[in-house]
Amino acid sequence: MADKNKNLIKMIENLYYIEKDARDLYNAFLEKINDPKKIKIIKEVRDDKNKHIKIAKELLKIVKSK
Amino acid sequence: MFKFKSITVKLFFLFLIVGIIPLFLIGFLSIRSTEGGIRKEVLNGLVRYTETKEGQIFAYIEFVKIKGSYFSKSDTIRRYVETFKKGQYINPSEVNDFLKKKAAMDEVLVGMSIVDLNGKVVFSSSKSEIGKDESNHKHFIEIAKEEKDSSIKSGLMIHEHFGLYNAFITSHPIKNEEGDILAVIDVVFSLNEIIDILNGDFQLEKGALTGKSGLEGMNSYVVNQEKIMFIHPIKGDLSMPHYERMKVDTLPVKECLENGKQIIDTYKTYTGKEVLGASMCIPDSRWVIISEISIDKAFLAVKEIYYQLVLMMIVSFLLVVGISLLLTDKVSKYLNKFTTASNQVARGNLDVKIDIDTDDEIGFLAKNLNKMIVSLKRSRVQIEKEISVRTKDLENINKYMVGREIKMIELKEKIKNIEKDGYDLKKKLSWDERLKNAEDMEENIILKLKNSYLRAINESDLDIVKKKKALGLIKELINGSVKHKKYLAKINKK
Repeated sequence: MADKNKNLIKMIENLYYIEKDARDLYNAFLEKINDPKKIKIIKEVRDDKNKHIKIAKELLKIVKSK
Repeated sequence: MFKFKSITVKLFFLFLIVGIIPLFLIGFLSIRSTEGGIRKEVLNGLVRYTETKEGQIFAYIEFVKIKGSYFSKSDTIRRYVETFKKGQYINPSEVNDFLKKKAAMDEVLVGMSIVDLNGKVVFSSSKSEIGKDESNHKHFIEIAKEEKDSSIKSGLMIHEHFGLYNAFITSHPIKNEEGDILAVIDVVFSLNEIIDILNGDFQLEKGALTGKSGLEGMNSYVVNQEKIMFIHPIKGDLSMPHYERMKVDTLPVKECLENGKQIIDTYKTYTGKEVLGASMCIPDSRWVIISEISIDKAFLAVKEIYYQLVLMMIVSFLLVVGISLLLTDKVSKYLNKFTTASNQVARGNLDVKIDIDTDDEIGFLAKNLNKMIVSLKRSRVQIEKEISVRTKDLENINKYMVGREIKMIELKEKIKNIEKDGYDLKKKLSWDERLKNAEDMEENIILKLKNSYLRAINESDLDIVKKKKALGLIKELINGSVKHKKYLAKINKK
């Protein structure tokens, strides 16, 4: 049971880092891409990714709180 | 510890109530009914007895009257009186001896006297009587005044005669052939005969097989018109003037002398004790014959029944208590076994067995509960087996997933290093191409979330609320990545 929980915590931590990496990638896109239409969409995605990071943090909290 | 709420105590009291109350009720009713029956029977017995005694006393009085009559009609006595009346010489001793002999011949006779029409005793069986003045005596006056139509007068002697105060006297006219009264003869009879009638000795003396058939403890006596008890079954005080004897002013005496009524009831007798009694009136002499029995003696049988009943109730009470204790103890033991077993099962111990082997409902219940525990045990073993298998599967999946995650992290690290170290490589990938890769990245995130995270959370041991919340958040992430993928696909098309 304990292993199961550890794995789940580790998975959520990974998710957190994945979302964080993705946000960094979209930030990099915003620096490099000049097309305003693309920038608008990427900005939206980047903002979403910030939200996803928060969600991942919350998830981690839930899983750890057990 | 005594707990009134416990089933054992309740059962005990239930047995007690069910066993004892009817017993007390039956006892009470039986005493009441016996008491009523005995009272009726005793009163009937008293009435029968008193009526019999009344008849016997009547018969005796008639008998002594006839005897007195016999002497008044005796030719010898009449001749003596006629001679005396004519003034001719007659030897008084001869007459007195004649009367004495006649009196001595009959044991019921106390004595007899001949009274002239002036009221003077001229001849008597006892010398002490000769010369006494009876002119004021009631019987003498009544007979002397009535002359030719005079008849027998009888009653309780109220003056001392023959040394007695308490005797029965009959007065008879001695008449000549023309019917003229020459003198009066007083014949005095002992009251002992009436006493014997009352106590039954008279009947026995006369050859009867039974005479004392009255109720045990019963008391019979006769009261005259002056409310004096002049006859009592106990002999011995006949020399005492009757008016000095016991005055009886009780309900039957009053009712008889004042209203001419006979009584069959409970009342207080002359001693102040409550009695059951029956009275009979003899109107001619105004005598009251009373038979009584004290309440205590009358209900002696009831008392005996009462004591027997109390004893029976005590024995029954002890039996009921004993049986109740036995039964409740047994039920209590069974209940304790059930309680202990159920506590063990509640704590998760399914190795218990209820050890009750009876053929009744309790035994049936114990068998069924034992079966249920065995069935629960089997189910638990099965579930544990399944859990073990599933856990192993999950562990394998997790190992695989973790392996994949580690690999991905390692790959990412490599990519980062490449990005840092190999500028040429970076140059080779245009930002548009990287945007296309980002679409794949989102796809990968979606897949990962769907395949691994949802399942891992579902199979985790998080509580329902947390699980639900975690699943909601994962779905939100999935939707977000789906949206991102769509956006990126749109950009990449352009």
